[in-house]
Amino acid sequence: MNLFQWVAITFIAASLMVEIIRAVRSKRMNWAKSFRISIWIAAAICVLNPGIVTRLAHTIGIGRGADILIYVVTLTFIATTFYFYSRYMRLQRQITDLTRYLAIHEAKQPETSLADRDH
Amino acid sequence: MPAYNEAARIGTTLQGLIHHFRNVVVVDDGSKDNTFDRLQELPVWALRHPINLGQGAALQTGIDFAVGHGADIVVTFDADGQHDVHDIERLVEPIVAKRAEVALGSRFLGNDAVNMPTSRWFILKLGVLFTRVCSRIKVTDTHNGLRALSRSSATKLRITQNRMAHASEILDQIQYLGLKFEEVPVTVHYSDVVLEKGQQNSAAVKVAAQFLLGRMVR
Repeated sequence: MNLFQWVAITFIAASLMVEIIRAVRSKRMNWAKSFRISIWIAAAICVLNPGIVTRLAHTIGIGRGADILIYVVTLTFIATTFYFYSRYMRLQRQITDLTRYLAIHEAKQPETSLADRDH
Repeated sequence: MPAYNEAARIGTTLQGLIHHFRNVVVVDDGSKDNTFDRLQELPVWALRHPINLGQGAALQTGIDFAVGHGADIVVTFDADGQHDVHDIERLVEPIVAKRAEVALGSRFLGNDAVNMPTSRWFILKLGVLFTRVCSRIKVTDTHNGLRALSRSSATKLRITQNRMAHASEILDQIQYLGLKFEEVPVTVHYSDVVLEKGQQNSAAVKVAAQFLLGRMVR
C-alpha cells in the first residue's frame, strides 16, 4: 500500500467504526445508516483495489476509473444542491407562514380613524 | 403598506393616507428601529413580523389581513413616500367599475416619474423587457409598488417571493391566473431619501435570479 492508501484507509476505517458503534448503541438499523456503512465499505474496497473502479468504468463504456468518479461526484453535487435548495425554500416558507400567523393574530387595532373623524 | 426601518418618515407618509382612508394596514417587517412604536401612535392597523422577511412577505401578510377583515379592494403603497395618495382614487376606478380585477400603477404612461435618474429609467425598462419575455405580460412598469387588487384577485394571488422579486411574481401570477388588469398612470417622486434607501440598480440581476430560481424550485 502507498502513503495515500494508508491515510485514506485510516480515515475510512475510523468513519466506519463511528457508524457501526452508533448503530450498535442505538440498537436500530435504518436504511440511512445501512447506506452510509455501504458507502464507506465501497470506498475502502476502491482505495485498496483501484483496478476495480477501472474495470467498472470499462464495463459501462467510460475510459478511465478517475472519470467515473468525476461523473458520480458531479451528479451527486448537483442533486444535493437542488435537494438542499428545495429544503431551504420549504423551511423559509414555513418560517414565513409562522411569522405571518403571529403578525396577523397580534395585530394592534387603531383606536380611532381620522377618516371617520373628518367625514 | 410594508415598512422596514421607516420610523423617521412613516408618520409623514401615513399623514395623507389616514385622512382619506379608514382602514390603513401597515406591516412592520421586523424593523430594528422604533417603526412599530410610531405605528402604535397612529390610527392604523399595526402588524409586526418578529423577524425581517422582506417586502414581498410583508405585502402578503397585509393582503391576508385585509382580506380576512372583509376588504373589498386592497391597495398596496410603499412606505418611503414615493407615491401620491391622490392617485389611489384613479387607481381603484377600474376595479370599482368592474373593468379589471387588478389595477397596476405605471410611472411610464405619462410624464410622471419626478426626478428619476436615467440609470433607473434604463433598469426599469430592462425589467419591462424581462417580464415580457419571462411572464409574457405586456405592461409598461413592472416594479411599481402602487397597485389595487379586487377582493377576488387578492384571494387568488399568492406571493411566495419574500424579497424584491415579488413584483415580477405578481405580474407572472396575473398572467398565469388570467386576471383582467389595467394600468393607471401614477406619479412616483424620486427624492434623495427614496433613492438612498430604495433598491440599487445593481440589485436588478439579483432580483431576476431570485425570480427565476423561485420558478424553477417550488
